[in-house]
Amino acid sequence: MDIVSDPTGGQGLKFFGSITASISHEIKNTLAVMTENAGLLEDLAAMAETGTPLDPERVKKLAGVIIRQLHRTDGIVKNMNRFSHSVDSPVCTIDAWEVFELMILLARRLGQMKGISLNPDCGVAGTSITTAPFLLEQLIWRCLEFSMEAAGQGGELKLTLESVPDGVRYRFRGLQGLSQNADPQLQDSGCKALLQNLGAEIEVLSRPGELVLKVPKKLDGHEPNPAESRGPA
Amino acid sequence: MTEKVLLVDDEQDFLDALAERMRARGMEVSTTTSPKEALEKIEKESFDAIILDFQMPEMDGLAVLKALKTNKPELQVILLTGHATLQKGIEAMKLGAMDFVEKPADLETLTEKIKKAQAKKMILVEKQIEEKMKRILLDKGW
Repeated sequence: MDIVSDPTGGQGLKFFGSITASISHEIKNTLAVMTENAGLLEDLAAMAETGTPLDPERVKKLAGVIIRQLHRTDGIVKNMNRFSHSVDSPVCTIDAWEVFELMILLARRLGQMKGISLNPDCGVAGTSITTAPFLLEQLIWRCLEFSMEAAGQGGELKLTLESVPDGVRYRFRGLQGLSQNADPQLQDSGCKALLQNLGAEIEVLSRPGELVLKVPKKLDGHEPNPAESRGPA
Repeated sequence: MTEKVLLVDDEQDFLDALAERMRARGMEVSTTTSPKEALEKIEKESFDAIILDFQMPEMDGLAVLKALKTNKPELQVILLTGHATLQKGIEAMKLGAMDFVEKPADLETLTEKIKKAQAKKMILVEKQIEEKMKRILLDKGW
């Protein structure tokens, strides 16, 4: 299989745009915190110049807030970098858990907005799959969105990875609001194109309120190539 | 005249610093990280301006704006947004926001907007009082 273009008809670009927009909003928030705290330090310095005593503990505390936000911003930019590099190769060998972990981190803010906690549990580390990373990220994102809707406000999603002989299973548990029938959200042409191109399958189980995303160990026509492996960014 | 402001944002570190800087500039400031608590506060106290984060957990910024303006139409709401697009601005104005500012906000700019909000609110309240007086005069036939 030759994956060179967007099989989802432009949704890939839309997905890329919405993730980067979300990242930029997060960075704006940390910049706002740093701006106000730096401004407050300036105000305290100005007051000290006119004779108001400066409390070193206050200065330390404000500096601590700024440093905390700097670390937070650094983490956000690291994730953005990892995500940006996922389009470097159309198909390559990747760590199945790392791609899941990245999408969970990127979905955290969305989860917070919806009042839903995302609880990842690695389970299996170091399982490699040969796949189309960007397409897999889109599919995982679609599953996360679907699962958050099904979990509902105040819900908790348990997210795990299992290794099986023919591939991996991403499990999304805690979908309390699932109806008996499969949800049309995951049956649109974009999602179907992703599943087909990845050789993947989705199973939605109303009891016990779980979604299982099955991804094969390798794509048809693509043998694992150590030279093509993508390590952690 | 001292401006009375309510800050609504889910980042506590942001609220604490901004509130302190505003108080140092003579404003009376209340804060909350909860949009629902903000809706309760406006019922109990009168504010010249509400500085409202556009995106928060618990309630969407536009939904909060709608609820605030429904309960207190004279309230002046300034939205804080991570990305101030024209489209978003128009949508917010249609729902009754007085203005919107992109984060991180410049404090001097925000202060100017708060002063304008106070003036606008005073005009609206005076108008309401005038209308009330007219109604009383009509009823009494004076």
